[in-house]
Amino acid sequence: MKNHSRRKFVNSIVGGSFGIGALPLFSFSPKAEENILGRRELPVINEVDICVLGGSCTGVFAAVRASRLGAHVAIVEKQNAFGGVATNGLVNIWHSLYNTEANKQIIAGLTAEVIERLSKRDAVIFSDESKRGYFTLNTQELKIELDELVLTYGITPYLHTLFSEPYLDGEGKLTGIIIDNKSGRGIIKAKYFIDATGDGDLCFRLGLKSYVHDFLQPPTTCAYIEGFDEEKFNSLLKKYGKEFNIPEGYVWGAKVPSTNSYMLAGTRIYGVNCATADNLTQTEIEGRRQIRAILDMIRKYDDKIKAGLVGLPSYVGIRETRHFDCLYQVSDDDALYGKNFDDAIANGSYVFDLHHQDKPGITFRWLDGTERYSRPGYPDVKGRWRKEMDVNPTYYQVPLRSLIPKKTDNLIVAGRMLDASMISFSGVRVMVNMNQLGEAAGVTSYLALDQNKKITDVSSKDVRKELAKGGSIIM
Amino acid sequence: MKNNSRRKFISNIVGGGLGLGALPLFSFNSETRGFSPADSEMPVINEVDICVLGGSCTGVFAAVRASRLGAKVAIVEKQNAFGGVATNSMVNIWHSLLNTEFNKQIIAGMTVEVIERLSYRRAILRSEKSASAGVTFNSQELKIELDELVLESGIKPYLHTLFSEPLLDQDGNLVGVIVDNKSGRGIIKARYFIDATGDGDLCYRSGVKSYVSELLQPPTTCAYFDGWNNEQFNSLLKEHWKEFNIPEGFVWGAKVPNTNSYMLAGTRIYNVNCSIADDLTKAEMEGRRQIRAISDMLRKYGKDLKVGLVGLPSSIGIRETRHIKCLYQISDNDALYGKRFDDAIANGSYRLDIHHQDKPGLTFKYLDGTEIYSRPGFPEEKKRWREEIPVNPTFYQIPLRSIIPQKFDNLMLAGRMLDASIIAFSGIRVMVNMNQLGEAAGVTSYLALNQNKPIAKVNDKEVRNELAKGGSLII
Repeated sequence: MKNHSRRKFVNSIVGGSFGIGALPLFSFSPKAEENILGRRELPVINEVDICVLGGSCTGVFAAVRASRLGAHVAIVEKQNAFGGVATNGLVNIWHSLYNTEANKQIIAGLTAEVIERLSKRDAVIFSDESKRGYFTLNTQELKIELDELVLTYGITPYLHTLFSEPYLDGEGKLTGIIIDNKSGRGIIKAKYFIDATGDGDLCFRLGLKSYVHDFLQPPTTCAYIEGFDEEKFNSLLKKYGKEFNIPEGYVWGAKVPSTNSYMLAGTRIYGVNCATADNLTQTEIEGRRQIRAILDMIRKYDDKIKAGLVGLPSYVGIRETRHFDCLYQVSDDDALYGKNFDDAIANGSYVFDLHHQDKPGITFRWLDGTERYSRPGYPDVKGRWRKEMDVNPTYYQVPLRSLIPKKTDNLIVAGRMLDASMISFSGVRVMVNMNQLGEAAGVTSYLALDQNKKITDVSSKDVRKELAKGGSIIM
Repeated sequence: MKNNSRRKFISNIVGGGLGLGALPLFSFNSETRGFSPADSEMPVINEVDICVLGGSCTGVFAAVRASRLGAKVAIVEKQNAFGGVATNSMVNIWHSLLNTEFNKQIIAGMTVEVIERLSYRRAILRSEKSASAGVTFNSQELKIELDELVLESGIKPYLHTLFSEPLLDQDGNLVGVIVDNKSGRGIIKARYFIDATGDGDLCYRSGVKSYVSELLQPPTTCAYFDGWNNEQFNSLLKEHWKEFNIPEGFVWGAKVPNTNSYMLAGTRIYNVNCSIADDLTKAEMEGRRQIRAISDMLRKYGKDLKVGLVGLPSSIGIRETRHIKCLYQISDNDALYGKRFDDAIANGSYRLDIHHQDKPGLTFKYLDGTEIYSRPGFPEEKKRWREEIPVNPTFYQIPLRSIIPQKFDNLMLAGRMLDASIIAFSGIRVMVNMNQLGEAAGVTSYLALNQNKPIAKVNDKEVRNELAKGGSLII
């Protein structure tokens, strides 16, 4: 563990706004060309307290929270930039930080901190009709913001680096991970591990029990398009979608702050599980085919639109793959009825949105008991999924236990692979919720390290207290 | 090897223009490979004739040329999309296909084919005769074009897949590559290998001799901006670069066709070798820091500009890392004096542009004996690097031998790691030249396969013949 006055240093940077000239210097040491052929022993390239796998906001927030408390942290990311779905997947909306009644803030922590930082770069638009509004982000700026966070807090970044395999000692204890990158395979040793890979790659390769829901929410290839007209697009889609082999689905989008680009989430790839390599390749290519189909349709039938393709993701936007058996599974009723947990570490109010694999459109379910089936180009079908009650819940919670896999001592998950049933997951899955899981995983790992304990033995009260001290809203 | 009427099919598609509805169906099988730490046998996931490592245009063109002749080809790419520097790094210029006098075409083949295909999507802007540009393209559209080429040609794509290690048999023959992806580590067996990784990862890890030139051309992080104004930027840069810690260098850029975005190549990261993992991470983050510095400068001093950041690369633009020792090294004079080779497989006319590591600006050397030192904000300095001669060369050539390493019979390379001295490389390195190396590697590997020969034994006349038959300009 480190002993330094990082907080003070951090405050001076965070408060700085424009013209931050002096980011902390890199501490990389240049290595000479060294040939690895025939080398059987893998080199240990780092030894840290906590190793985070996966550098989405969830992973970065985990790393930052642990590091702020004093842990020595490394973070491993396969892409060239942090931020995951928000940046590399181009998904630029963070949902409301308030409860469903818009009268109580339920989410803060690093999510709020990053929104504040981004607003100094004109990189946030708040849809301010009510506090229920959502945040539209310029996620290219977010990439840079996350770089700064990682560097500011002294986290060692490994970009363009693939997690390959767990590294076990003679007794089968997880003591490191094998990674692979431009310098070849190597080992990062750590005392605790946070699996924020989205697909739970570390857990899976350790042989931990996982499951896949009957209906996986389909992935989406987003795109930045200039000159996009959503209304015209929807009517073209209804008329000509078949000619261009564009699957029926659900289309949403958002302007990218400070630009003329529109982020369109208008594709969906059915029948794939992106945790398998072949499916992932298929999905990337099929997602781009659909983007081209959309543009070809516009070019052919409404040339006045002049839609131009500005950006494609560097990783398809994956909603769901496998989940892991943890100490507790969040059930559909837990979420739908807003159950309160003693060990709650996250709160959410995003609507449950079932992305069907078997039919077009989406079904939304709300905590007030109503539901709506929505299909582009058709009228909404409204109904109730339960009878009226005296008092409706206004948010749901995620318990710490749903992140702690069974039969492990020094491993915790953070992200969409949490233990959650199908409908509960459809709401819990969104980024403002996942961000909180990251923060909780970071704090929990730090406490285990500090108290020299198994992760399962860390008191959830301590976790909640430390989360609140660091800026999270704990209820 | 395959026996199909692919060519006919391809010309159907290429001739199709807008509204291509029906791409070939995927042939992926979605088998899942199980994983446990005890699983020590690595599965063989494919066996092909030719395996191409690296999916830049160079790699894809290699794969397509080999596949069109009848080879069964797999291509392995670490990112989610093909195209390398042209797509993932956002560098959207291909230089002139004519000689320096603009009176003779010297480059054709797949470069021309792709330009034609892109023009159906309005994704191409043709420049005036210029030493600095031939066509400007929309890189996002290029990603989709390359997907289509790969699928049409029946090439098996592996996206999000890292090349990890060579697989040698007991006699030391190269028989496969170990790759790593979402489904874990596995082996692709092949009879011939084309290393198009840019850094020569396969050659390097197979123990083939390599070298690094004394002054590496620095990498650049490009960015897409809305509302860009080059003139104002240059004057602000000259005044304020120090305040924002923006290194002096050389700035260029280009409009992205069919959009209002401007691609700025305005950063440079000195003293890094991006074939080393730590340097690569550092370069990515420092490149983005410079983009933010540029944006912050414009926000502070150019308020009426309203510049917005629209895109960042998914892989930093790398000009040069290691070179691989081959049967022949192109000398500075070979390039500067336009030497003709009997085994020439590529022609180039891009000026030799030396990106200095030791001072700002660039030095351009031209085949007519003149040179220009150019530094943004300062007047150009013109002089001659040699005395006048009666007839100036109008293009230079690349011999096949400069992409054939010596250690293995079934390995060749295609791309910036070719065997070339420092000044020769500064001109040869550009994409329109590298594209031709890919095509030559694909054809040469196919001929070796077809004739059951070591690559070095393939007759270069036949290579040139087959290249010409497939549309390349062979001089």
